[in-house]
Amino acid sequence: MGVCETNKIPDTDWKAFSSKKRKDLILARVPRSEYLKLSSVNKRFLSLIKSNEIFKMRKEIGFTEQSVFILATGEENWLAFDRKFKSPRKLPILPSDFCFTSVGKESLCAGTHLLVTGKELDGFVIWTYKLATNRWFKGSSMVNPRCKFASATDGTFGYVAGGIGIESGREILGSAEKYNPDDGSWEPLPNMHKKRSSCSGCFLDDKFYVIGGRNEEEGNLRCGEAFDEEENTWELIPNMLPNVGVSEAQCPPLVAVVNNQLYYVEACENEIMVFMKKTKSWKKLGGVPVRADCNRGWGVAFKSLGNELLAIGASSDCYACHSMTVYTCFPDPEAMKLQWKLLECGGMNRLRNFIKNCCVMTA
Amino acid sequence: MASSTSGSSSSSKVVKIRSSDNENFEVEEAAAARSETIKKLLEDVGDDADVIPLPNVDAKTLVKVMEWCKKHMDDVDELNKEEMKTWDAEFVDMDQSCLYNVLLAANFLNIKELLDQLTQKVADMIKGKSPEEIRATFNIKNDFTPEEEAEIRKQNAWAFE
Repeated sequence: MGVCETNKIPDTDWKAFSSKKRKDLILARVPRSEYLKLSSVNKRFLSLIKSNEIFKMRKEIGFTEQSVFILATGEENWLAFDRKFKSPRKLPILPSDFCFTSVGKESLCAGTHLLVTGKELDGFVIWTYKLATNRWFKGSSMVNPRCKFASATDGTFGYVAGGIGIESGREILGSAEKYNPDDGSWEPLPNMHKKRSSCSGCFLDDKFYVIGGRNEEEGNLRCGEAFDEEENTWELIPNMLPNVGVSEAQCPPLVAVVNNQLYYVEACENEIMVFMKKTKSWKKLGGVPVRADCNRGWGVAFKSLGNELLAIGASSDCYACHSMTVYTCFPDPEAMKLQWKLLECGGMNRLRNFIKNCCVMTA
Repeated sequence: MASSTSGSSSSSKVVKIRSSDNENFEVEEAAAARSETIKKLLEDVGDDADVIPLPNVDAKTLVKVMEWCKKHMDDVDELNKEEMKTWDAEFVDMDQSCLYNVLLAANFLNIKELLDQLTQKVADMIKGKSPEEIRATFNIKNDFTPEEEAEIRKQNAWAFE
């Protein structure tokens, strides 16, 4: 039978693993924390680890892991944590000028890129950290450079919307863009219904949601909008955020999506809620274990971490502590109160409890 | 439970397969068909099949692979998932030369789930080892010059902390 006569079996070790693809698949299944080590085994390992191929494979076989990138007050380096918050490591120093270091920044993840946007002396800049090469580089500019925008990722691309235009007389924007990490390009998307800055973004039901924020005409906005990429349209969702007092200097809404459910931390009451899609209303799920109410929501990270919610900041249990605490929980929208777990994490305790930027990458 | 198992095995068809070292095996068709390669061969030859030759797989390896196929013959219900996981973990815990052969056989026989399990097993063997240990375990030649290697190590210094 002809079918059986191909595929001769060689008898040496690593070379014997049938095909290049199989060998690559083996390396794709090794935890990401081992990758830089693997790159010093030989040239073939090195070129695979430094390429994006291995991350594409990991996505294909569903073998991705989360990394949490944090920039805390008083820290020079961005820190990277694994999902369990063990083994923190410093990213290489971001080679920006002092102006960028001292002003407010936004961050988002897209594929294996961490984008940090801000202002240098020469103008708006996007510093991009590439996971594969462990290096920072200056990325291409947005179509409409902006700050205080909403952002989210669908796992592959980065999406931004709204914000304040840097090159357009600090006008509040209604425009949106999509970042492709494969070629580092930005592509314009249709405008939202409302101009808004200091808004938040997330992916829910495969749509890019932009929630809250404010503009000059209407002040604080409770409405959200959802971008349907197939239809290429925005749907306005009136009164999406609960009706609570929002102060002028409030941080963008603290939102996170887990298991395709939207969670929101209401910063004044320090309370977490889940969005009931059918009734477009909010259900309360108890207090959050970090003090979002201290600085009107600033300095706290509220993110999705795979199938868990992540909250980082000053602990609500210990008013005297000034160190960073990290909590996770598997959220149950049906519950009366969410059960949070305090993580023991090395290297976090010495950090001051104010987070400037936090971003989760799945790769 | 016991009766349904024996019931299915007594009623199921048996096929003959032959290893590269000319040993013949009788295997339940449902087990053998976990291999896409055998399944296709069976479809091609229909009921005329006398014995299916597998010239790339020796008897020792074939026994091992068929042990897996027999265990994975039926769909696993939720209750047995944990038990199956334990069984699978024990199954892939074999010596390295055996692991190579079974992996190559699973590749040739096209048994995706087994192949995934074995691939993961090899990945687990890499985990926690130093670059030197990885080279030694898998007989990989270090093709860096000492300068190149020193440079890579310097860049990755934190990875070894």
